[in-house]
Amino acid sequence: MGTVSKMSSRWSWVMNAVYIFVSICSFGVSGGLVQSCGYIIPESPLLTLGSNFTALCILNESCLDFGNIHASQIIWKIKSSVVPKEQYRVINRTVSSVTFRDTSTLATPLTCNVLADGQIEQNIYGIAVTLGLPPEKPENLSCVVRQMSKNKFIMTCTWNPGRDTFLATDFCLKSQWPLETLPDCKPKGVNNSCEISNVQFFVNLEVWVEAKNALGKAESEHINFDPVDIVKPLPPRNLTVSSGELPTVLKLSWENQIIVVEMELKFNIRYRISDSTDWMEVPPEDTASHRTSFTVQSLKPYTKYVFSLRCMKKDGLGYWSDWSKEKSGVTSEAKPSKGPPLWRKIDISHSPNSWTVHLIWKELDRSEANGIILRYEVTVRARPSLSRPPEKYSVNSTNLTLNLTNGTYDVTVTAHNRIGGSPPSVLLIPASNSKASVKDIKAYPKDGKLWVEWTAPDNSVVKYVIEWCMVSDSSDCTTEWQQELGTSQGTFLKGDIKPFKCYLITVYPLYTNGQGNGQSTKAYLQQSMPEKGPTVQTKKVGKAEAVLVWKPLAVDEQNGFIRYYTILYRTISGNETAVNVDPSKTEYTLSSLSSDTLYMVKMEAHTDEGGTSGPVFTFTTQKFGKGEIEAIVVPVCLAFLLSILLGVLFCFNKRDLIKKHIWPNVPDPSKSNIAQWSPQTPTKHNFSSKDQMYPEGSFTDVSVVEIEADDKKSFSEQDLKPFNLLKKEKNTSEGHSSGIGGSSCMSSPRQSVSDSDESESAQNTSSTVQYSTVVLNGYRDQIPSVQVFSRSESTQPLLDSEEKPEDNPGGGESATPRQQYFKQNSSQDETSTDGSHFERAKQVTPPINEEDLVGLTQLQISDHSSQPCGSGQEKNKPESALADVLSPSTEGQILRLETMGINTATVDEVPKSYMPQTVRQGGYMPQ
Amino acid sequence: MWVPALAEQPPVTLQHHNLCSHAILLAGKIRSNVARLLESYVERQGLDRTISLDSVEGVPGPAMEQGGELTVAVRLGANLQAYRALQTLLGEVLEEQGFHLTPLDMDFHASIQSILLQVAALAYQLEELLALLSHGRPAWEAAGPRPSQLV
Repeated sequence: MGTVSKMSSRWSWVMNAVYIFVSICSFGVSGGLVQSCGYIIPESPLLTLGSNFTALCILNESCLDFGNIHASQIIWKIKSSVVPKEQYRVINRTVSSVTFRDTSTLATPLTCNVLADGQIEQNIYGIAVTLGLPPEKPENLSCVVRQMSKNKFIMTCTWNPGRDTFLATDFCLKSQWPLETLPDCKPKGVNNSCEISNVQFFVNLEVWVEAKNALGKAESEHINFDPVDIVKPLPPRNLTVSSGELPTVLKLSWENQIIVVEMELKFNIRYRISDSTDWMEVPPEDTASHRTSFTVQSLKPYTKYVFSLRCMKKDGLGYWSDWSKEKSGVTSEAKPSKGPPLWRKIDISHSPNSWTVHLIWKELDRSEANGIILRYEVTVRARPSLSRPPEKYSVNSTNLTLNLTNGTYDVTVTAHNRIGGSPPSVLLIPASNSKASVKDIKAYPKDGKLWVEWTAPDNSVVKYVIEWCMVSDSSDCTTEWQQELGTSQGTFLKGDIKPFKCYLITVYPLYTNGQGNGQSTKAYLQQSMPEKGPTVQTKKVGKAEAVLVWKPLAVDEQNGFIRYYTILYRTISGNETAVNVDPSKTEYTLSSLSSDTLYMVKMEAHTDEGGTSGPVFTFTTQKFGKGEIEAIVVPVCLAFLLSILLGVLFCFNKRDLIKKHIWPNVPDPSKSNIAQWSPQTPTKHNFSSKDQMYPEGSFTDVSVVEIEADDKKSFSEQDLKPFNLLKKEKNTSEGHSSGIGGSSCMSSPRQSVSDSDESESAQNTSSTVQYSTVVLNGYRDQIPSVQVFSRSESTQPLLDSEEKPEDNPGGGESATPRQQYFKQNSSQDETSTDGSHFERAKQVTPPINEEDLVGLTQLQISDHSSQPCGSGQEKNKPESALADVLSPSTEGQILRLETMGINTATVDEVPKSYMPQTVRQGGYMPQ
Repeated sequence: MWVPALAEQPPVTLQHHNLCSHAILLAGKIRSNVARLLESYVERQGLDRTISLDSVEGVPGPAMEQGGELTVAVRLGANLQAYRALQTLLGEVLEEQGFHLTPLDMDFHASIQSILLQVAALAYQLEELLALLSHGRPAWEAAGPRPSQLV
């Protein structure tokens, strides 16, 4: 039920609204024209801001009938904002009013609306409200008459129009004569000034401003004036400047642009030296009368001046004109007012008694030269003046070089122009600078210039000379100088002093009778950071320290005084460490560094203005310190040597044991049972002598093997042919003693070249050659695999008949290995290895048993171990070994043998039998 | 052209002095301007430069020619009458030039208008002086008919 009731209520409200809307509309249309239900009075009011305002909304009676509307339902709105109902007042059934105490809260439009049926707001009427202010009284009215041309003047009056009125406001400049009203002047585009072109002088004019708008009008104060009293004339024109006879005056002439019947003028004249910006002014009282020319006095000779002037009404009423165009003129020349500053440079010439004096002087300033300097006259007087007459020179330049003998001189220089000469400048050149010099000289920048100051010496100084030059590595120190009065104790250097450059400044005091030594200091006008940093590098790098060296920065690169160096170093991953170093140093040692570490180091040079870094240098510290390697290596070496020494001593002490195991004794064939058995066995003493001839130890390695006579393996002649060929060839072989049982350690390798003839000659000479007997029998029933040569005691020369091939029944297939075996067991006592060996070998082919072979193999190993001391190149070279075996005895060998007396002993003790003996199978046939 | 004869008996009051001073300066300026205007007029009208202006119809003769027998007031009155006549004639010239002869020569019209204003101002100053000298007699009445309007 409730819901149905609400639905019914809303539907009823909508229907009512539609009815009211239709009623209002039908009313408006019923008359044929659209009519509103009411209206507002006043219609479109113009209101003063801040004033009170009341509006009435009046409803039409007809609307009341249709819409059942009452004035109490009226709502006032400003734009879309509802005016508070406190400002409403229902006057009667059809009239509602709204009141605004301050119209500044108003805006347009102001509308009257009705709330139909208490819900729907319907606009009845609206008005536009205009707000504004009446004009204020214009203030500060003033006028000026500007001269536009000779006969044209325009009066411009300006005023303060006052506040904004928010309304269209007209301003009008009014003027009148006592009996006549002049035309109004209406501003164009502005509201605070107006121009009147028809200006009449000598008649008082009354001027005022009238401002008017919809809310009212206002009038300024009236001002009265004669327009001629407010004129700003045009400046004089056609100004000319001319010089007169006097060097200190210039005459100005001009043309006034206002006629004298209109007004008389007074003037201001200003002037300046052309290269100056400071104006000077002629006293105003001198130009207070009307004129067209004026002579300016007290000017400097031969100086260019610039002039300008302005004018105004003579009685001071009105305004000054603008300054006229500038015009320049030059005063006439006069004599130079002072002599040129004079100084000297003295070179010691080759002759000890003379000087080369360079007199130098400066050109006079323009203000001092008073004209164009044509020449300089120089007078040089020696002291005492009676010694010789003064010398005079006339020069056009500003220097003069003289060769003077040592002494004291007075030099005077005068400058001359077209008018005359200057007062002389005097310089005393003493024989020596024996006077007191200045003290405490300092130089520093001041006011953008370089200031040098000093403490004056006790004696009175006539003047000071300050010399300076820019110190540079790339150019010479070109000296500049200036003079200062003797009373001064400081001055700015006058010259082109450049920033970031080092200047050497020297101050000389000059006295009436001498000169003091110069005192010097260095200074910069402006310092900066150095152009670059020092390039650092290492001089020496140790384990924990590094000696850094660098070159001092050149003067041109310093840009200031180097106060200190900063050395920055770090490892790749470590923090940077900084060390400040005195700028006088060029070397520094970094300590406490880590060993075997890469360091990066750079250097900064610092002036007062900052520092600049040099390039980065990297270095690596050493792994070991100085002496550490020596401390390790030397003891190791010593220990090694000591162990070797001990080993050698041990070997020496145990040589018998070693010999027994390494070089076992080989039975002497001469002592064999066969020898003892043979009736032709040489006497025992022969063997004794042989013992003498072959000392023990050197002979122990001779092996005697038992050869079986029936061994078929013997060398045939064919097998030995190659050896004969080799013998006959002119060949190169190592002539070391490689005899049976010989140790290669005991022989020095030596190349020898010989041909067969020489070999034969050697054989012939060696008539006491011992021949080896080749025993091809196996030792202890072992079949030898190699051919073995055994030393023969025979001294009998070989016969040709014995070299027959048929005498060699054995085969020669294993000749090469046997030769190698032989070589390795050869004794140093072998004095001849000529072809007779092979001749003998052709006849003897004894078998060799395996036991012998084993023993020989051991010897071969022993020899191998000793090869480092001998000819290592020969190992594993059968052909080479063969060549050793086959090589004839060399001269060295022969000589050595002769020295040893071996052959002599043999010759003495062996019977004179030269028949070769042939050992047949199973037998030995001593001769 | 006539110059006010004020030098004989200078006024004693400051107002009198200022008035005389203004009148003298204005008369001098009028003379200068009229001379320049005359040159321009002769040039535009194609007249002979030797034209004599000593005797112009309707312009009274100079009072100075009558010697020192006349009083200051009489002489000022004669001057005032002459300037009134000049004012009238300049008005006629301006009307004639503006409407008939040189309607487009505005500068020339402005020159005539400027002198016309100055003459009117000088006439006023003379009237004031006469008023001071003639015992409160209205200056305009003593000087005769006033030009109807200043443009």
